[in-house]
Amino acid sequence: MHLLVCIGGETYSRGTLVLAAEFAVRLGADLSVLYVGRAVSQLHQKEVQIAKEKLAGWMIETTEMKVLNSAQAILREIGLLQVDAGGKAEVRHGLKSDISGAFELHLYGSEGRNVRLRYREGEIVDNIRRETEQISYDMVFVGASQKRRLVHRILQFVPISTMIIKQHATLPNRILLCVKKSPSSRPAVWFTLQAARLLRMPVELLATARLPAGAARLTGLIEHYVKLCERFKIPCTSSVRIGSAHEVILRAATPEHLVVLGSAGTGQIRQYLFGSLPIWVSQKVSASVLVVKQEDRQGLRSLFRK
Amino acid sequence: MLRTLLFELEKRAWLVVSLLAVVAIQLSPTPSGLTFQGKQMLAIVLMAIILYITEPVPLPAVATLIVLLQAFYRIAPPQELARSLMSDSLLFIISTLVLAAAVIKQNLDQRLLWFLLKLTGPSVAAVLFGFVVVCSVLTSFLGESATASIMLPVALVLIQLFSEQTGHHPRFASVLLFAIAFGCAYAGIGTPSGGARNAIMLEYWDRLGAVQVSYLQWIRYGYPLLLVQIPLLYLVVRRSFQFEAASLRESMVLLRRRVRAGGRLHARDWLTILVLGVTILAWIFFSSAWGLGIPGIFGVSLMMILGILDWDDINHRVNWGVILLYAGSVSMGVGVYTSGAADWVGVSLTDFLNRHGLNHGMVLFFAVGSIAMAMASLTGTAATVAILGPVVLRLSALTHNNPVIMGMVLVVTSAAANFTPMSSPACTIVYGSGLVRSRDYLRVGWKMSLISFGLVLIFARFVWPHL
Repeated sequence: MHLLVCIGGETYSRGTLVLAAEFAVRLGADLSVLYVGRAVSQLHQKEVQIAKEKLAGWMIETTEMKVLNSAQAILREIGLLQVDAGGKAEVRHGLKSDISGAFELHLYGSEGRNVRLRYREGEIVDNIRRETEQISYDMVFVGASQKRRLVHRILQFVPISTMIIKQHATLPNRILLCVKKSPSSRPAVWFTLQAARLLRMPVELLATARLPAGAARLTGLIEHYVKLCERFKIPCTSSVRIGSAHEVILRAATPEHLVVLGSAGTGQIRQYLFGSLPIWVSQKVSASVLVVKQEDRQGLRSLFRK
Repeated sequence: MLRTLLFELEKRAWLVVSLLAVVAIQLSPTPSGLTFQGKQMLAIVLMAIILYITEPVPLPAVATLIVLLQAFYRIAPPQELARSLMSDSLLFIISTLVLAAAVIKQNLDQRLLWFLLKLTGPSVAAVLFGFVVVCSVLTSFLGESATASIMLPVALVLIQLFSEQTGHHPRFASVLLFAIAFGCAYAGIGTPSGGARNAIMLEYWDRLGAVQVSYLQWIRYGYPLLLVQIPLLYLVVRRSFQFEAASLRESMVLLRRRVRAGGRLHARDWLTILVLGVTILAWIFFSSAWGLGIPGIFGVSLMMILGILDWDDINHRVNWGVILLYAGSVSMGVGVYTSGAADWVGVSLTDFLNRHGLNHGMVLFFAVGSIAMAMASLTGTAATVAILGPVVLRLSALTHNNPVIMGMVLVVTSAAANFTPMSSPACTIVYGSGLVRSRDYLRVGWKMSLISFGLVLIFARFVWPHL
């Protein structure tokens, strides 16, 4: 299992990194940390690159090195890294250029896991996409941005399951699984069952219907999922509420929750223009939100089988 | 599949917008006085401006698009288009970039710092002035990105030593780093080798203005202005950050140890200095007869023959894509002139100024400078000169102004638009250190731009006509 966490700088990304590292520890996963540096105009790219090489020759830390070193310090603090007698992280290889399209520092993690600190430059969503195209990741962790459009673009364009972590978020202690009668809910349920078992978290099942008649139809579905939870020996509560799904989820989610939703069943163009429920929820709720991609179902199965 | 398609489309949205703009102009009626080809050329210019600013495709692709569209619209025959891509000034740009790469490759920076500190002594104010002077002089010959690459590590070492000595001192870091960023950004006007925009203007003077300006002649125009700018820049940077007087004596002791450990200058370092010196002398004394490209290529050949640079170094350190972009931009400028677009814009602007009684020297310089500065802050200096150069030359002919003075106004004002970290390579390189704030560029930049703008108006009115 391989998790990717994207950080945006030294200060603001601490929470995201800590939370992703906790997940990596509990799920026994490899972890890659990706820092996407500010895009430089193509006119100046070469010159900036040469200036950085010059700085490296003088042993002067560049901004991206500072960010990666700070990430390394946080991971060491959490105990995710294998350290030598002097307390320094054990390095598999130093910073190398063009490892699957990025600069990479590869470290030995605790319990035999691999920890990679990677650096790319340019537009964030484009680089996360490139990263997921070149390396097989199972899940991406991204810190919630003040820029709402960025969250929208990440959830729409990153092809694998994505967790949006809120600033100052702590490790959630229960999962709020939002389901509906649609194929997009199934991978989310599958993920939740496996993750709840490994993370030892109770699950709160939540289904919403606009009208009471719809609620009656959802009862059967909820009962089916509750039985699944029982089969996996996961403590579970369930509720079916009447109202707009947006408002119901917003009211139900607290900072202690990990809100899990399936990706939207709406078409890509409609989603691009008008957004979707998962995008809206990710932007509004105070809890961290995981959007499980529909096409990721196979990936998720193999992920937990490992 | 649809997701990827949508994403790629979103990434290239500005390309679509620029092509739609071309089509829209193509379909619109041709204004009176403008030729049909001129209208098509203006459409290409608009497309190029949109693509320069938004960068939805690799910049060399903008150059190829410019050439393709010119061929498609039959603005010039294919052979002429191909010829418009290569010129003496392009050879000159290539040679200055290669020579700068050779200087960066050598480890002259530590020695340079030590030499600088020996000259200035331990006073921070003197060191700051020294940085402004060294950056300005080096930039005027080597170009801003090479100078910034050499001076940035030098400054960061000094900042590090000073911080170890006195604790964290962000204002010291700011004054020194802005001395580099702006010292480099404003000094490219000193000689033709100070930046690609200068070479592009030389090309236009030669091809379109029928005026030949030699390396030495340019220095006579550019250097006095640069020499006046240096103390003003020093004052602006110093006053913007209100740094208290301090001594770098202890840092200098630490630095001396470090430089000694680095050893003496090697034979290859001396050879680099020698070849660079010979090339600059060749530019100064032989550019009237040989142009600027050939002496530059002579220097590049010497660098390779003497083993200072190999082809891998040149490939790695020279941005060939940007050279292609400059070639495409000059080709576009020539197209603007020959298609009659420059004439139409020039006549329209002159008519406008005449109607308002503003068609006299200073106002014209002010108008050209303002447009250049505004455009340079969006598209970059070289692109601004490439686009506006032909129009300015036509304007100078229509208003009976000296084309060299008008061209110099364009070059200097476009180099003075430094308001953000991305406005020039030197500013971007310094910003990469992570020690300066983005908003400080505006804080220093607007003052310096106003000063530079004022100076160029004074020089254009009172100094340059007498040269």
